[in-house]
Amino acid sequence: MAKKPGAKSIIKREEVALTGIFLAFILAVGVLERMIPLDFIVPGARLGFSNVVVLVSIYIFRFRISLILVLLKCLLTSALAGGPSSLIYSLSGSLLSFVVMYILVKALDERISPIGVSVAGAAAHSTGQIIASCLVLESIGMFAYLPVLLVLSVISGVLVGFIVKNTVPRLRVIMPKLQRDDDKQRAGGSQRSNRRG
Amino acid sequence: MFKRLDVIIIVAIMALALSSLAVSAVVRNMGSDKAAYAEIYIDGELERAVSLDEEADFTVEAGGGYNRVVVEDGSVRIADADCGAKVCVHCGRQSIPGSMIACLPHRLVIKVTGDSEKEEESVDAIAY
Repeated sequence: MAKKPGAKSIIKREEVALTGIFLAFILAVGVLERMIPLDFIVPGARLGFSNVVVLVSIYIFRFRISLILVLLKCLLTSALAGGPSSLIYSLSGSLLSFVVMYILVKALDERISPIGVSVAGAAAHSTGQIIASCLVLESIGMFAYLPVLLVLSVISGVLVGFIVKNTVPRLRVIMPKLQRDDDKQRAGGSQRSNRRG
Repeated sequence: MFKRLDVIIIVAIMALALSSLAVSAVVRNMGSDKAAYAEIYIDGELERAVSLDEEADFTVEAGGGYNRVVVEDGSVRIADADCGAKVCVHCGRQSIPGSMIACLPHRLVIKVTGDSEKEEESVDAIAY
């Protein structure tokens, strides 16, 4: 690993470390959430606070880092808790939610707060999982759960959004370096190819 | 704290959810209230239909595991299963037509249905 300080790699060292920390947060939150089952409302429902970490990562990381985080989240949570069949539900919900949130954040940056983004993301997560379960079970009956899940999504989405709204500015203060590199890269995309090699 | 788009998103999702809840409640009321059968589907195929008037206790093989189905007092439940999270077991007793129990890892669905043919037709019309 004898890289020169100026050399560009696909993922920066700081990003690797932060991805690890964020992933640890997600797994810990997942374990805690499993202790609060909401099965009495809808079977399998959970609070979805790991979305805090995903949404924060969308605000402060580059696209590829957030995507890696989401993919690792799905792989690890289903490896640790769910078993192989849960991977498809985890992936369908998380990826749809990630895409929706990413587009909202990047396209409507100033006009939408993290609360709206996380509500939309939570709703997309529920919808993705319901679609996946309908495909797997070959029955549209699972859509019966969607309305209740959407109501839950709004509630947990507002809570998650509120947390994210208060977290992102503070994280930006303690991570100025990452932010600066990010802006530099966005400003001068053409410099990247020159600097490599 | 909330921006206008936030409110629009929240209101839109709530409106969608509540209106479809209302529609499904109306649809459910139109069918017969009396539950007659528990239909057990595996991989989307009807495996077995059990009358809820009788008592039954049996095990079905699904998705490389088993689910023990118990029918008693006009309700159906999954008493035991070897799936991961046991969400299906936690669903408890179901007796109202239209309600269901799903075991996602085993691709197993139990639907409670009324006995009127009309209702079955309408379900099929939506499903296929």
